[in-house]
Amino acid sequence: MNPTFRQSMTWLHTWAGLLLGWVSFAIFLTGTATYFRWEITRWMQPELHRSGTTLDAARAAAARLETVAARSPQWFVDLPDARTPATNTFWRQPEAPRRFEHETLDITGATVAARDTRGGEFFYRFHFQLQLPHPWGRYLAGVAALAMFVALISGVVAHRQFFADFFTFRPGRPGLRSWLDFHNVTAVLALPFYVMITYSALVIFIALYMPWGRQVLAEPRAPAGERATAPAAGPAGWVAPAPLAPMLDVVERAWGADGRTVKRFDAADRGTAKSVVTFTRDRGPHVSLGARETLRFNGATGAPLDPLPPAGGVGTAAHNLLYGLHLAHFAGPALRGLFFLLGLMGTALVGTGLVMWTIKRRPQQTGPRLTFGHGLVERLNITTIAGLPLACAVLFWANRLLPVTLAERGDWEVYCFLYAWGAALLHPLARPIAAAWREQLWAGAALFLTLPALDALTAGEHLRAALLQRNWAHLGFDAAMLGCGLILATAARRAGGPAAPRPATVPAASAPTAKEVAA
Amino acid sequence: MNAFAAWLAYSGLVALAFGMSRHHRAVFQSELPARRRAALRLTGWTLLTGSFVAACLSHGAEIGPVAWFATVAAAGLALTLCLAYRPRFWPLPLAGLALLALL
Repeated sequence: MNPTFRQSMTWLHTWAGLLLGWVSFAIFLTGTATYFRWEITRWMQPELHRSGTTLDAARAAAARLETVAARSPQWFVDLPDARTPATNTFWRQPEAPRRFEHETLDITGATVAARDTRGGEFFYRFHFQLQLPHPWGRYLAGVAALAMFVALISGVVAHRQFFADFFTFRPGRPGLRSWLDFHNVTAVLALPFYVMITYSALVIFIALYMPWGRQVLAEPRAPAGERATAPAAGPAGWVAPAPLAPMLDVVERAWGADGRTVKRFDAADRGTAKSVVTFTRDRGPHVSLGARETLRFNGATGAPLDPLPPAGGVGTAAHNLLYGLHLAHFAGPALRGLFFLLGLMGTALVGTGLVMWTIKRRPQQTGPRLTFGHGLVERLNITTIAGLPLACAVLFWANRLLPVTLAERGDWEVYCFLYAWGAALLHPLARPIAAAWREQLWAGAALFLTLPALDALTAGEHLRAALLQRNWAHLGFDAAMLGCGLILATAARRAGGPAAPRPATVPAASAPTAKEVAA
Repeated sequence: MNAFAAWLAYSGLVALAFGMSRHHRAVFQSELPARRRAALRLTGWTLLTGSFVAACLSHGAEIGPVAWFATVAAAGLALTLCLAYRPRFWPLPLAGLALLALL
């Protein structure tokens, strides 16, 4: 037993942090990338271009669906906006009720031949599913989020000089001092963000982790809303759906004026008398997910219906608010950039914590070989902190190099990512720790720094088009890749050893310690 | 995202930082008198409150507080790195953000 509460909390912080730290690092890194998921998708599918208005795209998509999916019972259409260049349509075939067909359309309703890729959606799904089969990935991510939450709270308790150290970062000091300063500073400055992101992460899947509350506290279900009442169905049971063009005119009159037009529309129960077509508007300056304006129409007659009243009670409202905070769809480009920076700080927070565990215990490793536990932590640190960025770089390289006609191309990009990460797992087994750090960090830096050149070589016409049309997603991505490369290169240069002696700042008394640790 | 709110946040944090003996010594090479500490802290908190109001005015009452927390965190990181590597350069982000706010 630890003698004081603070020491108990330190022990808890160490173990909650260490045991799930690698998973938390992966979640934070890919989650931070997810803030720009549509921009990443735009870079990974450079063939798509944006033009025309959203309503033009809606009309073209409706016309297209009326030819390919005329008998489908359900349509979903995601329309282009500032961040997505193309229309995505989904529909169900009557004989395959669980599958959705999918097409990507341009402004004229023609299907676009863009390379098959998961795009930024890979990072989005990875950060809560971890590429594991359903539902185990979500459960593991949930355990990691809970451990992160515990580590945040215990870390605050364990931090003795919380306010005195608020702006304190002393770089270049030997041993743990600089690392601990950086860990504390990144933690304290963005603590509200970490608490928000971790707690909201747990709440998003609350029905998966703690389903019993919903069973006990039955919330008021939404009233059925004005359902479509239509003339009796024809003899074959298929009620001809009303054309969408007049509905789109109504939508344009209602919403077209101030620019926040329709974001998506869906047609449910097509071919029946109860069919409803719903147009959903872009969210606007609201945080909560529940705040969405809709226009509903009777799918069989085309007559407008009253909008649905908001569903659920306080629980649903709270869930929507926290979900909305986590997704940050309300954020404009500058605010999203800020969130990205805070996400990087969180990634650095977890990473420095993992590294500090090993630095603190290296002086205790006296034998010629590392003990099993210590060696395991050192190697998993390398695999995660250096290997995961390396695997991401390989994913982007695969996107540019894999042949466009390859079957299952999107899956093959992910396989490349996984094989690279697997190699990063095996590599530290064959190399000394310091050398393994340097090699993986330099490899990652090299791949990131040369990625824009690869982009110019393999997708040169798209890069030129991006420059001409000022496609900030594409250009910003290339710039960000250079930035990632610089960060990894800086880390690689400093990864000479745990306390690589810096002649100007290391006092003589600690020089022997540095030498014996670096051996 | 409001550059003025960011400027207020950064200057508020600067005032609070200089109200701490350690950082006051690092930048001004002199000890921090008690009255100046109180004055700096009051100024700092006032500027941070102003930053909160500016963020809410620019983003609305829902997104404003969220944007404020993010802005203060980023400003804090900038100030911390400044104090760690180049303590004398602390007015630089002030000038930069003022320029952004005026453009």
